[in-house]
Amino acid sequence: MSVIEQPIIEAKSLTMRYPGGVTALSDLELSVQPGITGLVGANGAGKSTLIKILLGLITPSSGQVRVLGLDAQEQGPEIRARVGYMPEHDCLPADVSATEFVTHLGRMSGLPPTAAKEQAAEALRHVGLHEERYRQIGTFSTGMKQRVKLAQALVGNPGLLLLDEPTNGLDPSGRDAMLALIRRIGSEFGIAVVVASHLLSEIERICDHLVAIDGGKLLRAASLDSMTQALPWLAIEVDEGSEPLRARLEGAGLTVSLQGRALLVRLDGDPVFDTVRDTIADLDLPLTRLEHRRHHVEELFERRELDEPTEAKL
Amino acid sequence: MTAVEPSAVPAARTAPEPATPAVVSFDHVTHWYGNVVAVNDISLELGPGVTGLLGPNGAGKSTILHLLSGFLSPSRGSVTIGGVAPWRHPAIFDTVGLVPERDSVYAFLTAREFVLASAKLHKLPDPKAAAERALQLVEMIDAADRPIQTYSKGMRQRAKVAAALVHDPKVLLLDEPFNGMDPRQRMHMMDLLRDLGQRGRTILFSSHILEEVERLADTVQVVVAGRLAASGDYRTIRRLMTTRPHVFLLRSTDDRELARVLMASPAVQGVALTKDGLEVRASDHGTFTRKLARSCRDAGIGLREVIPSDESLESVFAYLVGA
Amino acid sequence: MSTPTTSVIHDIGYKPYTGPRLGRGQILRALYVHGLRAVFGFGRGPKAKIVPWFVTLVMVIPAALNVYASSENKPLILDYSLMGVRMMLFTVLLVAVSAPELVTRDLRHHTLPLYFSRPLRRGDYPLAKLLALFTGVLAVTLLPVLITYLGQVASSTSGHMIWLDTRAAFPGLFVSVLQSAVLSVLALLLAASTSRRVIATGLIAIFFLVTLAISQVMANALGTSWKTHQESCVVPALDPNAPNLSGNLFGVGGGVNGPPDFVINQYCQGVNAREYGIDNVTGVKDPNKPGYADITVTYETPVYSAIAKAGGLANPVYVVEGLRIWVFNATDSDLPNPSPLGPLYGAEAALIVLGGSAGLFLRYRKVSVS
Repeated sequence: MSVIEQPIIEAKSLTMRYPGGVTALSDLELSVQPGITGLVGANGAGKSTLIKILLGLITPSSGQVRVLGLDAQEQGPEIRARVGYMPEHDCLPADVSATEFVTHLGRMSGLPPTAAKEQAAEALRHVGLHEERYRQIGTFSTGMKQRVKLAQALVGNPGLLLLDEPTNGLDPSGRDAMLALIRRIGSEFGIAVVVASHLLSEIERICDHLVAIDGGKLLRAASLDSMTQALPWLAIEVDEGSEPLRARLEGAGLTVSLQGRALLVRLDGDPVFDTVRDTIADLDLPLTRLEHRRHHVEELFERRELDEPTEAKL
Repeated sequence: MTAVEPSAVPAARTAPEPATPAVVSFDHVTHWYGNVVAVNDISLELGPGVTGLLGPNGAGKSTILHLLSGFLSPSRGSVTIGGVAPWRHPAIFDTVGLVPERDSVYAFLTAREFVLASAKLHKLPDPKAAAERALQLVEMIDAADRPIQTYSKGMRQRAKVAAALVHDPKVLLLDEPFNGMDPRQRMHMMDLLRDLGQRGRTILFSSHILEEVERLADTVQVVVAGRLAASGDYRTIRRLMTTRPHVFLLRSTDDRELARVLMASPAVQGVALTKDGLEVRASDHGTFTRKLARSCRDAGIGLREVIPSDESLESVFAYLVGA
Repeated sequence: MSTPTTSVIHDIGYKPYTGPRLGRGQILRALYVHGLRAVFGFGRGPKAKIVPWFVTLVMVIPAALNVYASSENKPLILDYSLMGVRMMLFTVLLVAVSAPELVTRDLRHHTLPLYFSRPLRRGDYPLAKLLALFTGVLAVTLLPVLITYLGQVASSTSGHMIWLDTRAAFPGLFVSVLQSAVLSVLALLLAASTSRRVIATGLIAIFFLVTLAISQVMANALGTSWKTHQESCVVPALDPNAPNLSGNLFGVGGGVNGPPDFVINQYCQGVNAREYGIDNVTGVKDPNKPGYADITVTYETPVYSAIAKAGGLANPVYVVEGLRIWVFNATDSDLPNPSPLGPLYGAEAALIVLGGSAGLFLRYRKVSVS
């Protein structure tokens, strides 16, 4: 895979004010790198406005956007030829087979007739629709429909996929499969993916980067690793005897606190691990968990509620 | 009450029953639409607190909620709330509030009008005050005078919850309440439900987002193809699946040596060396966890991490559905 | 190089597409072709083919009869210029079924965001659909004109006859093109106002039938009076080769048994003996021209009120028909000649096509993508 120097999406002081006086985006600075990026926090106007601007469908009130190196205001059709978009809502006809539908949309993405057929077959294979692809879409389950929606976004061989709530309406096994698929597209296929999702746990599972937008402004953009960094706390869970364990650990000079069913031990250095191990062994306790506490993406939203003024400066 | 269907584990086992009085009870309830059996011989009891209702699409979750809210009558068996059967018993609406999954058709109303209408429907003595209180509870005062059709999905959801809460019901039923909510709205809704549960309300909500259920619900009811597959605390449910080895991810100062040590134990079925550490499959959860720390110490191995990788609600659910 | 005996595991993983990509124009064309196929029910189930092919078949029937008539050297069963109006209900049936087929499915299933997030511009979608429906309807309505014309040409004996026939076919072409345009635009605009196919079909059918009824009431029933005309002309009194030209006319001067219609039609300008009732013919031998007679024809023509003349404006098919009558000064129609309201008919036809298209484009500007 070639290394792309420029960001996949780059927005500079992007502002969108609607005639009614609603400000959907205000002075948004954004830079999306290759890989899978989660887009969170932009409910309602902000998210759909951003998608429309990225696809070059509406002109922002001010600011610039480049998508795949193309100017969104000048080169909308070129961008749309190279971006696959999977909408949040139902968008599939009931009385057409998946193959026919995806082939037609392949044509609409600019593929010649034969290539559209081949690419549609490939896209459906990659999303895991096999013999059912000749059946009418109306007979599909929610999970299969989501796959068709993904296949139509994939058919034009995009450089960027915009997925809007791709797990919407899926049950747990359907979600698992969809997330695994997105992960594969982002890593094996080498296609940059932007996933808009309200589910932070999902974003933590599949994304490399995260962009959080709030009130039309960038709240945070960072790699997911940096947002889920390990904290210097060790969570210990034992099936029984957590009180004596706590007393012994404190007796050994460790800082211990109780959080839910877990004991949190301050991790000052590697000897702490051995102290914990030996104490548990001495007390003959069943150890069910020994884990680093990590930051969660969710804290991003919790913190803002606590001290709004400082975060608003971001 | 905790019960696991034989389909999930070879023999149904029951954990000790908590002593809370049952508010909601299903007694051998079956419901069918034509030839489709949506709910099949379900018996369960719910007390105060938050209960998650889980199951794959089409497993019968909505039917259960509709049976409880009196929209449907059971084809067989009985459903009672506080000892009263909800079907054709309008008085039940004083104790039950339902938040349906679908958006209301009254999108042209403002949230305040919508909640007020609900308050009047319940013939509350002071509908205005009740509506204000409900709107305050879901933090919708600021936007209460805009038509519902201008709302985001999360706001609509909150307006519906306010309407369902307006008469301060003892039992609150919610069908996919978090759908479409952004993270902050989600957290807020979770806090609200948790708080209501702690104050003695019986709350039953269906959700596909297991991480949320795990964080919010005290107990879960898992429905698979119309049958109640399991109910209770999901960790306890997991322990009841004795035939399924428990999977742990271990990291240590010497994974290879640790693997050798662990393989010697009869409690361990298998060990795999992965790039992230050791994946251990323990057939005997009790013995394995009790021996782990000591084995490490005896072998001089520093234990860095022990993560039970199939103890989450997600894996419990997958086992129940897949079994 | 691999020989047949070499074992290989082929990479069937994801491969980026490196072939050519078509521009907006070609995508538009693909959407147009897709729509045109849909008009005739291709790419859909067998049920979708019933109406378009039934209509096509019905259209061929008068054309086949015409071809038979030409081969027998008889006048046409259905004249070119009247095909559009006479077959109107079938054309309306076609658009009432095809227009919803073209647009309601995408509206109903919210498929439009998938189009608008692709290279096409907003206006391209309605444009392709409009062109597709127009082409489809044009092909169907032009079919009888074309078949009849070919039949006539095949049985022609001279170049002049072919020329005359070409001229006669021209109003048919005129009606076919305009009617297709007007019907397509209106039907598509109506269809795009709802996402339910059945409702769209009903809307279109009701719209055309109700306006048709209004039009007919206005054109026929209201305010028609008769005006008496007298026309003097010189006709050949005697032709030994034409035995029909006998009788007492030339000696005594007339009565209703004057010269036959075609003589009057030929020699008395402005009189259409077949269309108007000839009340009386008087005549004397022309004193200056041996073998000719001076006759005076008395006949009545209907005088239409302004309401009757404006009647055609109520229905789009009649707008086209009125325009034809006015442009070609035709007298073969059920409708009165709209003169002096002719320009109004032209303006309305233009308004329907242009305004309707604009409305359709506006309709699709409002569709949201996300």
